[in-house]
Amino acid sequence: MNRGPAYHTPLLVITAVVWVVRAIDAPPPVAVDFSFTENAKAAGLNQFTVYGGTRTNRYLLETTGCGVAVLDVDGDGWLDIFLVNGTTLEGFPSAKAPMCHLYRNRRDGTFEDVTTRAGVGQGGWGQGACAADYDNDGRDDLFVTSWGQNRLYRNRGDGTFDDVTARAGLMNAKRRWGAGCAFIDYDRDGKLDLFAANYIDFDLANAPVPESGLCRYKGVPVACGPPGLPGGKNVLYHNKGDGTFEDVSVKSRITTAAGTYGLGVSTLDFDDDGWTDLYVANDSNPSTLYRNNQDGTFTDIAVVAGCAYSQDGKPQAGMGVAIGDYDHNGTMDIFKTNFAGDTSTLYANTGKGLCDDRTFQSGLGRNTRWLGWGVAFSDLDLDGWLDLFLVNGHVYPEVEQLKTDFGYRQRKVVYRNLGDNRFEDVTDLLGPPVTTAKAGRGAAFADIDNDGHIDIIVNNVNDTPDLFRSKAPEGRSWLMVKLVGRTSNRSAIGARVRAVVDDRVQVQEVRGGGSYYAQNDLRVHFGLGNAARVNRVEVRWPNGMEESWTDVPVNRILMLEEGTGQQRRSQ
Amino acid sequence: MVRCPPGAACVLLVGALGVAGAAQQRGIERSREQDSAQALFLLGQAKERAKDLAGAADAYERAVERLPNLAAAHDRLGYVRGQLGQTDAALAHFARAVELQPGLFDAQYHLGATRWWTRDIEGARRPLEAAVRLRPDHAEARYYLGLVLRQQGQVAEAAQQLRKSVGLSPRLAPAHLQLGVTLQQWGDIGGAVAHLKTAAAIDPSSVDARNSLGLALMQSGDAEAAIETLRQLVRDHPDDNTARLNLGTTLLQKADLAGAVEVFTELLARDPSNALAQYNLGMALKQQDRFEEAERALRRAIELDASLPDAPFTLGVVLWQTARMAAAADAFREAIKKKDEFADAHYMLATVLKQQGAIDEAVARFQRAVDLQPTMAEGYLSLGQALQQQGRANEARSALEQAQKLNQRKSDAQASTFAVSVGNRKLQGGDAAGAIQQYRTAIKLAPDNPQAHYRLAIALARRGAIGEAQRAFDTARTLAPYLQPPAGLR
Repeated sequence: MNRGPAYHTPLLVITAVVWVVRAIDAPPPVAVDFSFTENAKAAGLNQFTVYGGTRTNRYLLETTGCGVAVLDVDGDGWLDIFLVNGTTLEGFPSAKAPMCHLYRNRRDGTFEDVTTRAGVGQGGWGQGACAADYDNDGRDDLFVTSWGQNRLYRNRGDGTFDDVTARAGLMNAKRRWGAGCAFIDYDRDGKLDLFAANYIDFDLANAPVPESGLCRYKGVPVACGPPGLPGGKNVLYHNKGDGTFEDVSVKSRITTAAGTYGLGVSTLDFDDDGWTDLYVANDSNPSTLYRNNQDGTFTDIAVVAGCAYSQDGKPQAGMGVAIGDYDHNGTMDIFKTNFAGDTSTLYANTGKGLCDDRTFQSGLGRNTRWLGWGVAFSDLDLDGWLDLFLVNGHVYPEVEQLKTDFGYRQRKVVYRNLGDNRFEDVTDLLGPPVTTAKAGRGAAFADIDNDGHIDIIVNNVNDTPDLFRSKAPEGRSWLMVKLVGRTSNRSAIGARVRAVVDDRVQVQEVRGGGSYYAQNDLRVHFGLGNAARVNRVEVRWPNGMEESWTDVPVNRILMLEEGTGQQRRSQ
Repeated sequence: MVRCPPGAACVLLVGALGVAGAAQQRGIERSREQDSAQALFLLGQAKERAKDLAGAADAYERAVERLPNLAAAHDRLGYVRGQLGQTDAALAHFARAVELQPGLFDAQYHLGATRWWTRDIEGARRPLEAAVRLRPDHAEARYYLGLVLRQQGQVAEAAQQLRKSVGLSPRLAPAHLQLGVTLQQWGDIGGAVAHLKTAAAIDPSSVDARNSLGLALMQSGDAEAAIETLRQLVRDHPDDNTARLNLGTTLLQKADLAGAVEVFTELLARDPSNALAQYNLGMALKQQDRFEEAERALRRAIELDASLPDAPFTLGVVLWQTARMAAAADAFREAIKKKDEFADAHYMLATVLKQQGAIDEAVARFQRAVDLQPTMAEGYLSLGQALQQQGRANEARSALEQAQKLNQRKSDAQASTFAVSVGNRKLQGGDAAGAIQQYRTAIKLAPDNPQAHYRLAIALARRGAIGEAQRAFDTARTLAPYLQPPAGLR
């Protein structure tokens, strides 16, 4: 959370390619053909997320908010929702302490609160959540990070979870600030390992306070940090396959990253070598791109590759991260949300191990007032091009004391992909509820009602959540692919999927983590325009095997099991 | 009595009286001249009191004609000439008075002050120093000397003189004003605010005091008070464009962009040719993401004042942000033409050039940027990356290491500041040992943090470790000369 970027927006480009750019004249956007409704309350998502002070925040601890994960708890093919919850400095009597909530999808547009029965109603300073089947038993498990002790919940398969944190070897020796997390099979042994970013090595007793006058935002005293506070060290746990994990943070060299203050996390295969990498959006520090060295270790290549800083070489206050191939060149691009007064950042993956910062050229450099958190690339209008949906909200509630153009509660921002490497801001055209101001934080992107349209669950600070249901134009087709690993990890995290329709190819991945503090839908979604069929679906499984399926019908959720397709090759 | 007319007539007198007699006669004549000069001097003073400046000047003129060495008369004549707007003549008479009688305080003071008013800062210093030596308790002499020292860049000495001035004359508003401005320059913002507040309270009509107070309050972090001060000033002096400009700038810093736009727009309605207002309007619009309007305002600012380097620079940033790279490069070049030592402009031009593939020129510009501003971490980072692209691996490594060092230093400085703050809290809570630990941590992180040493001195003094406390304070004072010794230390 960079306090006060310079009056010019900082951006950095590292590229050998000369870009011919044309002026962005910002013509008004054409009418938008997709829309959103919001009906969290009606759907039964009524958790009130308590998180820190409502008018002032004494410490940064009270600002990060909570995340959300989608997972199929009961294996019925309908995604359930887990909302993390927090607390306040003053605390609560135990009977009244806020707790996380698990909502079972009733498959009729509504959800049932099954928290207590499920045994996942933890309290405390909950942060993020990620989900996947770490023990390959066919059931999605859940990992919740905290300022305190992260927790691993193993799905028993009967609607209940078992807190196996201690048994699994995941207890912290001291209090840590777990942030974004992701399941990842980094060594391709078929078992999901676990990565968690750590934000700040935070000690309440020795933290500076706003009344010191040292920390001000536009003249108003606010919570201090993160610059000046000791940074957290990320952690990687190797899944030993027996229900336990080993902390391999040092061995794997993830602790040697250039930056710290990690928040949003996503897996991705940046260099398309079949080995899953990791991207961490860092706050006020260069972001981290852990390249998988294929030998159990990682190297942070973000600075060298040009995915760490702004175009003009400055660290940004990175929060959330979105991964997707927005320009259809077959590589995974990175989009990061940042602080107010700065733009978001679009790093186009050149395919040569480099990022090319195309924020301005793509038209994404025009919004600096909003402070971004949860985000994803998602084909909202099903035209085959990935759009962007950002969730915003200011860090400091104290900003309400200022007469600003923005406020603490902020609108979402939606960028429509124009298909020519550019985006346009269609937020105003969408209107409410997208323009309804909320203090948004974690956001999970998922097809909650299995209608082929991506929905968004947002965990708002000191508020109830939002459930945005998207509606794409009639007549546009889609395909949802659920991968089931057999030799590869069952959740197929790390798999790469290509959908080929005539001469158009879309590439997607199954990813752990994503957005801010969230776990997105593990199923892979393709918008297909007016295609009647998909010529070919190609899958590269996490273990390297490649298969394909041909002549795939559209407008359905397609479950593909490893080993059942036409084999192409193995890596 | 025989008068001795000048020239040959005296020879006659000598001839008639003999040598001794002539000498005696000359003595009598001189005495009479002196008496006459004194009488004219007194007449001049009477005329001055009666506010008859012309009459006074005439009397003084005649006095110095009678007695050219009458220093006091030269001084008064200079004073009256000055009052009549005849500054050159005034200066000449003051200088003459000083020449004749260096120990005449009034002459030294008048000469020094008048030279200051005529912007002869160098020439003002010696007479003012002399004046202060002659009358150490003269508040205004110290005031002027303080002004001169500050303008000559001797901030610490200036502060010393101005402090003495206000000590001698606590209601001397201009001295409080100048002391406030000096302390602001020195880094003692708290002290600056206090004296500027005093200046404004003593003389509410002082626009300068209130303007400076507004800016100092903003600097001290009290944005609300800054805005209120400047708003009140604008209400009281609606034609004062400086106040409006400062108000707009303060609103801009406080992110009240709509308010800032309103103030700048109003200012431009009153003064359409105000380039700074146009520029700041552009800045406010840019921060509102109103890029097209911002661009128009910035271009207008450039038209109004071609010498402003910031306007083309910010225009360049707007163009860059809206992906018009070639135009952005031109704008940055324009900024550099106006101010070659504009490090940020060199840096941004280099950034654009690198994006355009012009690596060689980009490297040269990055190098220039860091030469101008050696603490620019991003400059070294970008330079390193560009050198890598050129294949100059060793130089690249060196630049990247420097970037890393600078970033670490910045981070440590912030951590040091926080450690001091935590230490203060512990000290306040009675945990001196904990406080001392925090201060030592702060010093380890940033040995040049004056507050860390200063607060350590306080904590150690409280524990009776006077020697160590004194050493800590001495270090603090070296780093920040404005610091005053805590109780028990010198």
